[in-house]
Amino acid sequence: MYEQLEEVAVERPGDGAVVVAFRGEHDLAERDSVERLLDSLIDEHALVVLDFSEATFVDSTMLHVILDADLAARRRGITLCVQLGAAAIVSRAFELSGVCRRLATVESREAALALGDGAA
Amino acid sequence: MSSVPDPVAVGARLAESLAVNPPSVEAFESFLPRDLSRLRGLRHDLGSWLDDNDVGPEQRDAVILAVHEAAANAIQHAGSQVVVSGSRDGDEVSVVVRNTGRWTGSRPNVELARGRGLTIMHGLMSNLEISRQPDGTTVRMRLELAPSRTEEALTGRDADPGEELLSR
Repeated sequence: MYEQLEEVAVERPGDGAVVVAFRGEHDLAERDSVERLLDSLIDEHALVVLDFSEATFVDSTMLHVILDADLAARRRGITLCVQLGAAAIVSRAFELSGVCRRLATVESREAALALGDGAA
Repeated sequence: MSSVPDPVAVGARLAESLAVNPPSVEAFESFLPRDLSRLRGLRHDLGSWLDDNDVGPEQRDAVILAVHEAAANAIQHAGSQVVVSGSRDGDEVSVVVRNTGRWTGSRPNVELARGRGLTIMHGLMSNLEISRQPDGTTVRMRLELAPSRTEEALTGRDADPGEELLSR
């Protein structure tokens, strides 16, 4: 399903939550694969955490994919959040594009999973 | 009417400027085919060039992201190859991204104009110009190499104890 995404890992910490960890660089070349992956995960989970804390690059196309996933999640009553981390340019891309104002961002895995407690 | 500048004074200012801000040793140039998978290599090559030109990490990453956005858009719409050229001149880095063929879409550059890519590029660069011609589009961007935000933050933090003392 996401075999083309070498730097994306899917973890299921329990309680209906799924964490999609994006490491390294993510750009429009993998748009279709990420869209398919997120579509499939939103259907199966109550909380979707997109972890960009170890990502070093994200472009506007990937930010668009994330916003689309957030819209799809909201329509289905599912919580989606983004975890940001060390790479300043990744946080800046989220801020400059306005994505930070549109969806929940957290700075730790604990804070991300806590969002699921209210939903469960 | 402007007065004629004194050539001696101009020469002296130029010599002074060159001594303080030596021109870049080598300009950056990259030719990309219509292949999105080549953007990663462009980012890495550009990053090495910016490192070689002593551009700090935060501003290097800003240039890489802005150039990526322009080049990604150009690749998606260009009829032929995309050319990225960069230069470091004194306290600024300039990069030009242009496609050498006709835009293939019926409405050229429409995605860049309405998308987040343009917002990001404006936010990252000191100056951004887009010129559209029948045979292609050229994006010119410029970043002034002022002290990075990290350095400013450190300076600000250094100033805090003094302000605290004053307020006591």
